[in-house]
Amino acid sequence: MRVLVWGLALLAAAFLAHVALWRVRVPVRQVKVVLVIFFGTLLAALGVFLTADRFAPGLRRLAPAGAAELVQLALLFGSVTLAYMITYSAVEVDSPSLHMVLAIHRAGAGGLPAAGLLALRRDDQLVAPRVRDLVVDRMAVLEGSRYRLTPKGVALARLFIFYRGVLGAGKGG
Amino acid sequence: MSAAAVSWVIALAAPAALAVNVAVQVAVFRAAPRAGLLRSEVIGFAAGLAGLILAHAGARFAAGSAAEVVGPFAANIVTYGALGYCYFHFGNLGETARRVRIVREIFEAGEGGLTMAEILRRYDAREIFDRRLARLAGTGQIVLRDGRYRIASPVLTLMARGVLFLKVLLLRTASEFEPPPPR
Repeated sequence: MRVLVWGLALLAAAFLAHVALWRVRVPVRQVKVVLVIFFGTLLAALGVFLTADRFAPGLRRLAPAGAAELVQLALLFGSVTLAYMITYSAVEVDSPSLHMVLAIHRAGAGGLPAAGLLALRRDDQLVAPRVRDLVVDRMAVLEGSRYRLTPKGVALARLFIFYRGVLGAGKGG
Repeated sequence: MSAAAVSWVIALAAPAALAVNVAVQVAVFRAAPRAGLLRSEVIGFAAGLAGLILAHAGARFAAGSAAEVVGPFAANIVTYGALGYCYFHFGNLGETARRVRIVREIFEAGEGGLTMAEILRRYDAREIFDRRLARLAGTGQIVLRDGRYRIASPVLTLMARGVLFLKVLLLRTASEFEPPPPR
């Protein structure tokens, strides 16, 4: 039970730190800062657990015991952090699907005419901001009027070309 | 099996279950792509979960009555659930993410890159909108009746409201196109 309790407690602490910082100022590279907060919390906790014998003997009885439990804790914390990061990307940017669903939901039982959804179909809202995100996230650079990929962007492209190829699926979007 | 070995089986059971999830999902999708990505992801997740349960049952049997059961299993359920969620979204990124599609278009254009106008000729709001409308209707989330769209399943509505809650909590705005109020 120690792994589960410590894992959830550390995740809660990291989330509270994240919310507190966002109340002061939302950083430009939001996902990167979220990662720093969460994994910084994990590394600090692991450091405390590994040195508990020396600095906090009372903590030894409560902390995860042995390498296997520490690995299990790190996997629990890391996996929930990654899951939150993926969810956060839907928080950071507007999801067209979720906006369409909300617009239909708000229309009530009478439904929404097809024309009512067309207002969402805008290049300046659906495409251009995502292209700019690639530059902010350093996956592309703007040289003159042309967007070119950085090595990070090339790696992302190759990863998904490979994965979609393994599935036998075409381009998404 | 020694107690240490049992501890390591338990520690690594969740990532091993994810490997089962991925292998089964890929095999199912390749065998029946028309059944859809979502169905293969559900089957893959169920297979990984079955593997996780078997691993814990085996570890419990090997360790005997002295071993703690509930705590490690609960921790691994959370871990596997999160890993499965991550893989589900990774698969969906390939299927739906605009940035991934844009990166692919620029990559395939070669070293010369693309202007914004060239990007929009390959991938624009019309395609984004039409794909999503077809997907929402195809998965039974919305239905078109008498020329009007209606919600057919509450799942995505609940998800949208959850995301909206987090947006307001963290970013103090409901949309990236609406600036937050001044502090």
